[in-house]
Amino acid sequence: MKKYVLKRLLAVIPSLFVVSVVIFMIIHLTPGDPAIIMLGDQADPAAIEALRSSLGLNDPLPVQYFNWLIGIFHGDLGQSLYSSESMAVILKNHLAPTFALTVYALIIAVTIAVPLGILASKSRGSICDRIISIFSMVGISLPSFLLGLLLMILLAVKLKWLPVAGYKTIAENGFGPFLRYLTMPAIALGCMEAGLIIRMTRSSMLEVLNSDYIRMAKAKGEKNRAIILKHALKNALIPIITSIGQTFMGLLSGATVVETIFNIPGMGKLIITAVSQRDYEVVQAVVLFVSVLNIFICLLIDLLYGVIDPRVRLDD
Amino acid sequence: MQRKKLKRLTAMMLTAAMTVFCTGLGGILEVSAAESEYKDELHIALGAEPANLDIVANSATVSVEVADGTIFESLVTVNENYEPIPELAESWEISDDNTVYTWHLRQGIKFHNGDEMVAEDVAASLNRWLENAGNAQTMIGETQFVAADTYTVTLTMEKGCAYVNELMGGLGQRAVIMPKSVVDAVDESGLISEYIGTGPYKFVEWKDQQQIHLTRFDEYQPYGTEGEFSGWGGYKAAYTKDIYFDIVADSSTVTAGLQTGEYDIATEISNDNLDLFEDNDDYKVTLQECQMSFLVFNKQEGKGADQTVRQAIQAAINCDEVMYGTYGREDMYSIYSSYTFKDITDWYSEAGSEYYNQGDPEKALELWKEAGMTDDDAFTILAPNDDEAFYAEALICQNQLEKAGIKCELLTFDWSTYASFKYDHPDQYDAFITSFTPKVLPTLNLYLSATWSGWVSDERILGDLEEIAANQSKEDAIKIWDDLQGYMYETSVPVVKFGSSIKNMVTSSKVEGAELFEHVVYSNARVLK
Repeated sequence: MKKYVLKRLLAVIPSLFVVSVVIFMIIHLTPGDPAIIMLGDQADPAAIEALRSSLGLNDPLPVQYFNWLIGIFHGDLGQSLYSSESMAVILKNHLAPTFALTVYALIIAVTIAVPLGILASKSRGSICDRIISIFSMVGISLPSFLLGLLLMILLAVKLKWLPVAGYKTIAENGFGPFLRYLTMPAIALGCMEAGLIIRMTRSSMLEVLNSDYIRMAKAKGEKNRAIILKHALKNALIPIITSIGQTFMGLLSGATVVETIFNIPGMGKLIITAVSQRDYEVVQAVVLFVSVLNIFICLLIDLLYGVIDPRVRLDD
Repeated sequence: MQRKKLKRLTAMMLTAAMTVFCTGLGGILEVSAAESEYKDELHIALGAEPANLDIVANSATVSVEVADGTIFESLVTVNENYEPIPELAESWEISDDNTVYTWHLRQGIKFHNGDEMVAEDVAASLNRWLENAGNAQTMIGETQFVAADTYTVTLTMEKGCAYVNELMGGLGQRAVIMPKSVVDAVDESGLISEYIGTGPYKFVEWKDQQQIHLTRFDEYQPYGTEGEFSGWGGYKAAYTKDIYFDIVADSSTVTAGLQTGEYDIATEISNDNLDLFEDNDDYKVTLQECQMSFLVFNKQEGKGADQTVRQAIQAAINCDEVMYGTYGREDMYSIYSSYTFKDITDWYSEAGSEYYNQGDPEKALELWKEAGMTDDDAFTILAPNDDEAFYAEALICQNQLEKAGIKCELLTFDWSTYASFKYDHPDQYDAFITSFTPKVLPTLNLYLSATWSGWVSDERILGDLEEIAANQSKEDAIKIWDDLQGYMYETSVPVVKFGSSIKNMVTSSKVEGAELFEHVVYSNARVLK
């Protein structure tokens, strides 16, 4: 196990190096000039050139890359062109809303999806199964931004139950407002993810429910509830957890469109703004950070497999 | 007997005290009732996040809207007719030959850091403005603002310039005044790091991608007469305690936020959604002409450098179709030939109007061929594809040129790429789509600049602009401009003007005092509870 973890951690280094080179090249080779964005399209060309020079944007690309890399080895992820805050603070400030939204959306998704998936598998072919399948297809097919806008019209404009958009922190505003502002985007994202998890749960459960040991349990007279929850669900969990893990990774990288619609200052909005403003070091830092996060979440999921299913050996 | 007198005296005193107390209480209640009619907060939906609030260096409208007139004030500003009026200046004198300007400052004006504004602060601020505003420096020349004494600032120029006050009041790069210490502390990027001005609101906090918060500056000294406000100048009452600019990128969210009352004011609501508010008593819709759209030719190289090609393109364009196709409603644009806005009445000109809005495909093709172009030659238009209006204008132009038999290609990018592509790759396009806000002087229009993208090289244009700037008589200068506009339409054609777009401001009907003049002016805005 330790050997396995060490091997996986060592494999992170070349991955991150490749990520750093690729993202640096992509963002720097993309046309667009931060100096023009900072001073406005109609600024004096001489002022734009002076700003470009003072920001070091006229240095050769390899020099800029190595300066950035050296900074990273010294724990400095770079400096935003538009904010005086350190990159660590910027990442922390934007990760918090995204993390909260991700967890909230996942709670909604799992709460809806796992029971419905089990129910559908239990009553395969029935009307109940078909209704759940339709619900899951709608969840998958309906874009989260569209669901978000529909929710906005219903819950905010018509019923006035929830605020239209924005984000409130627990520290400044308390738990109630924090939850109120996150509810609509969390439902929009949660319903979409629920569709996927329902399908995964249903198919995984069906596979397990058709296995010999379940038939044996039934023959022994085990109660249906015990068969589902104690025997079947535990063995069906691996693909479900993989699906939840992938969802978690995807959402943590930033639910760009939903964050934009609901005005949540998360990772998705950060990267969109940074790309459109050509805030190079923010883009590089965010991508690098998200890559590290993904690598560790993948590792965590792999380790969880071993915990859930002892047949999975991690030492090889 | 004495006890009786004492009782009477006590009763009288009590009555008097009660009367005084009740009168006072009544007054207090009256004041608090009046005060409590209005909210302490004003929420404005801002469609984009400003890059910074250093409006001396950054002329982006979104930055100017947040900071100009709220945090910062100028020595001189302009009224609704774009005429200069004093703001932080008490008065000014101009020498007969326009070479020496002297401004006398208002005394006792405080910055938000508590320091008094003196001539040294003004001179330092205006010298930094000169460095950043290339247009102003071209007209004023290599010189410096000087603090003559504590409350007097002077400017001495080699050549006379009749429009220094107009430049300070109306240029995109705002000539706002800040403490000398702030000017001296600009960072390596040349931008200020503290937003300290003399305006009625001071900067409190900028929550990244969420909100910019300003609060009332209690030591602010308004100028002018209460209730009188015009353009960007006049009495600023700062009725509302806190102003919040909520950064909301998505237009559907802005519309929904206005409907729920989360935002009190929003601008540039899409014309499709404007219907929701126009016939509704709960909202007020204000319209103002604020942008002029152009096709600017690249006169440095490529086909745009050929005068006959430019005349051909001008002949092909039907401006009605371009503007209607882009804005979809006739009340959302206006069509007239003057290169200057009609509100700037002194410089408004109809010279050359016969060449405007021609929509003549036969003439266009004839001129195109006269320029030596064949059927295989394509005219390339550069446009941003994430700006709906610019992109629509480019598409309609392409359609009109193709109908005339002129092959036309579009080169489209996201806005950031488009903005730098204009500077970096003049060899790859012949013209680009852009728009401009009103300019207090026609000489300030960037599309007439030799250094800005478009690169005017026509000696007559550049010479006349210099003459206008230096001319001591405004009447003579206006005559030169009138002739020059005729020449530009008939012969040189540096640009094709499409028309002017109308900006909208939607407010709740409870909002009072918000003015729309190029951008929203918030100094007297307040919201009824």
